[in-house]
This record gives sequence, C-alpha cells and structure tokens, in this order.
Amino acid sequence: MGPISVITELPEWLDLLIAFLIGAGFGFALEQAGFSSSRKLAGMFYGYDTTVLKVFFTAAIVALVGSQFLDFFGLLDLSLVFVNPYYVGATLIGGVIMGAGFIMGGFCPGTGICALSIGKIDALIFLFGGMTGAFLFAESWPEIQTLAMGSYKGPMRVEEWMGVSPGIFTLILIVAAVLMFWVAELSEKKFTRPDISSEI
Amino acid sequence: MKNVGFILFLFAVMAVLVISRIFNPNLFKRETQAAIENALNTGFVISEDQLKTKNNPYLLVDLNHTTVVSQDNPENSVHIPFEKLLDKTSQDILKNNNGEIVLVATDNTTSSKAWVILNQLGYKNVIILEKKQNQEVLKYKFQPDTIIRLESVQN
Amino acid sequence: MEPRIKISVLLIGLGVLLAFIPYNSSETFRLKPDELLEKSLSDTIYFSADQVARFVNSEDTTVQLIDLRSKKEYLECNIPGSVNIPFEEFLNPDWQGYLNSKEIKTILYANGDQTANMAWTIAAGLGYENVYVMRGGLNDWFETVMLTRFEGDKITPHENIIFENRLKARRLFTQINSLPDSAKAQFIEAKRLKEAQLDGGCE
Repeated sequence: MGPISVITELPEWLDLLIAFLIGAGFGFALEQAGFSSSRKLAGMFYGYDTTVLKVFFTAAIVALVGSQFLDFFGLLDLSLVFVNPYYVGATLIGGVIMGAGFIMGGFCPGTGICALSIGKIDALIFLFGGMTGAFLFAESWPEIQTLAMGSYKGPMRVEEWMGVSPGIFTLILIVAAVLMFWVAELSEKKFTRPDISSEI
Repeated sequence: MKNVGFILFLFAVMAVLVISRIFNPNLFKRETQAAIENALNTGFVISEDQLKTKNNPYLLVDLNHTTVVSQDNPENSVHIPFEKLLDKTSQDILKNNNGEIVLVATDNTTSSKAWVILNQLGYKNVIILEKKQNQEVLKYKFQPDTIIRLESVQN
Repeated sequence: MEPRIKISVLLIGLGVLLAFIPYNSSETFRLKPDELLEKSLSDTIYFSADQVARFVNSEDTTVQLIDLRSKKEYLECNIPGSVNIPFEEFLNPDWQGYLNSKEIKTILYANGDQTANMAWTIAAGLGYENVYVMRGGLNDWFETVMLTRFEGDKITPHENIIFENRLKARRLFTQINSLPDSAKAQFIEAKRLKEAQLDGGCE
C-alpha cells in the first residue's frame, strides 16, 4: 500500500482492502470524536470547543513522526510521497473560501461525509453544495486558469524552505502543537458556552 | 506510575534502535547530490605524471583482482581487490589513512564505481588515477553528410 | 498522569530523538553498501556497442538510451533514439520517469567509461532497476560501429551479420545526425513530449 517498501508486492485486492480498512478507521475516529456535530466544528471558530485542532494536529504529528521513523529505518521511501505543488495565489484564495464555508456550514468535507452517514440532512445539502462548487470550478477553468496557476513554486516542503533537517522541523512542529493545545485549553475556559457544550 | 514506565520503556526502545542505526557502518549516510557535485569538480581525476609530482600524502589503492600496478613506493600503496573493498580490514586501512586516497585499476569502470561507493560512505578525498589521458573526451569528430545538411556545416 | 500529558511527553521525546538524526534518509542511497558492491561486480550490466547498434537498428522499444553529456555535445552527434540527461541533472525528479522504469531497459552512455559508470552506480544505489551501461561509450561506438572496415577475401556468415549490423547503424547514425539543427531539435522535442504524455500522472 503506497510507498511502504516492505509490502509493495502485495496483490491488488489486499492493497485495496488495506485502503478500505484505513478509511473505515478514519471515519470511525472522526465519528467517535463527535465531529458529526456541526456545533463542535463551529466551536473552533468561536473558541468554546477546540477538539478539531487537537484531533487533527495530533493525527498530523503522529503521521509525521511515524513516517520519519519508517524512512529512517529504510521501510518507507519518503521521496516517493507526493507533495502538492504550491501555487501561492490559488492556495490563499482557496483557503479563504474553504474557511468561510467551514464556519458557515459547520462541516468540512471529511466530517460532512461522516455526518451524512448518520443521516443528517444538512450534511447532504452541504456536500451537494461542495460538489456544485467543484463543478463550477471545472466549468469556469478557462477563465480562472491564469489565477489558479500563477506563482508556481513547485512541490515545496517547509523544512527545505527553512533550511533545517526534517527531524528538527518535526521537533519544532511538536513543540508548537503542544503550545497551541495549551492555548486552546485556555481559550476553552475563557469562551465557554455551557449551553452548547453540554449538548454536543 | 505504571503508565509513565510504559512511555519511558517505549522511548528507550526507540532510542536504542535509532542510535544503533546511526552508528551502523554498513549504511550509506551521505546525500546523493554530493556524489554528483564532487564528480563535476574536475580535480578528482589525475594522470600518472601528476601523481609523481604530488605533494600531499596519499595512499594508492590497487583495485585489480590480482595486483598489476607496479609499486613505485611500497609504503603508501596497498592492494585491495574491488570485491573486498567493504571488508573490515580494508575499511580500517582506508579510514586510518590521513591523506588522499588514489584509486587505480586497469579497467576504468571499476575505479569509477569504487569512487562513487567510497564517496557515499563518507570519504571526502578520493581521486581516480587514469592510465590513458582524457578518457572522457570524444576522440572522433562526426562528419555530417553534407547532402542532407542544408544549413551551414561550420561548427 | 492524564493521558494527554503522557502522549505529549512521548511525542516530544520522539521529536527530540528525530531532531538528533544527523542525515536525511530520503536523500541517501536506498541500497546497503554490500548490496551495491555485489551489483557492481556483475558483468550483466554492460552492453557492447554492437548490441546497442542492434537495438538501434531494430528500433527496440523496450530499450531507452540515455546520453549523459552536455547539451552541446549531444546536439553535435548522438546515438539515434537517445535522450539527453546531462550528468549534472541526473537527480532531477523530472528525469526519474526515464531512469527508474520497470519495463524499459535504460542504457547509459557518455564519451568514455567514467561518467557512465558513475551514473550507473548512483542509479543502482538509489534502487533503480533495469539500468545498464554501454561499455566504452561513444568512443567505442565510433571505433567499432562507425569506423571498422572488413578486410580480407572471404567473410564468414557470423562476421557478415556483425558487419551488416554495423553498416545499418552507421547509416542511421549519419542520417539522423546530419539533419539540419532545426529539424533535429524538433525531432528531439517531439520525442520528449510523446514520452511525457505516455508517462501519465497528474502533471
């Protein structure tokens, strides 16, 4: 599955089965963290519930640490991992649009599917809106092409840009994350909304 | 306290694994780009005349299967067949050497391959000795067929 | 201790461990030194100029020739069907599709033996399969394919085949390399674009 070198000779059905199990695990984890509730996600913006930050950052850090160790022991070839090409303008505008949608809708695409799977109708409408947006993007591609492809910087990695080794970058990120979690805890105490937090 | 012990145990196991791998001599630890950069910097190939006028201390390493190179100066030359390049004894000899390492072999392919392997193992001062001069220069000029070539023939 | 403090401590500890790793494993060779040495000792990695001439004559699509010299030298003359990857750019990810191919045999050549063998060792160390070297490089190609003549009264069938092979390759070589520069550049660019499209992928 993917670039893990020890198991690249698996038959294809086993590859797909592993992918399915990983996806199922992801959905399970999101659901049990309570992300099907749009109030939990909106809480990230208003400050009364910072679970989203903690879950996603912890996941990112565990993946980072795990993949760095696997690369070090020769089991994973990190140079094969796809790094998204970085288009400055497109990333900024896309980020703004997605952030606005996140707060207004209370879902992001992954959690939207989670909520849909437990039967929420607003998740269905949200996903429908998402697909409409993607369709409009594809249809209007010739007009926005120059904007979308402008200032291409190639597949950049932060540690290359900073000039440090990947291990040091990981350490910096972990320390930054722990600090952010601590600040998040403080914000939860400050912006507390017991009327909402008790329900979700 | 039991849980703290578990975390410390896990951390200790990882630390041992990492440290043993860092100090494992049977691994390439240098970034590949260094090999290409060193290869493009032309000082790493020398001819026999340049070898005779060399001032710095050097160790001549004969990579042939059976030794063929005449030993002008037996103190600083050693015979390590290419197959045995990574043996512990050979590596000790190479590491204990202070000056430069000069590789020589009758077949140019052997010395080139050995150069890359040693470069990536971390040796910084490895040179190849060329028997014939300028092997990497094209000795023949291509004569284009002037009937086909409509544009000017000058180079 | 609360679980989150335990996990934070464990993660910070692992991060510290990672920060002390002195080298970046994804930029070093994949193979271990003894594995690379064993591969370097085998003789199967070489093709002679005659064998390459046969590949060129039959336009064998399972073989890709790579010219490791500078662009200027490549444009002056090159073996038909070869792609120019200057040695400086050997690690450029754009060329990985050519160098690291599971189905196609990649044959490297330069003017002599040295650059080609170094490039081979680097490719082998990075774990690329199917990489070979043309023994002797272009100097050998000129000596055997372009400039040999048959001298003698009778010719054995075996020698006949070899010489026919060489003559055909000689003709192809002269023809393609005698094209005017503009046509040659177009031919090379068209071949490169076709390869890039066949590669597929997101870009």
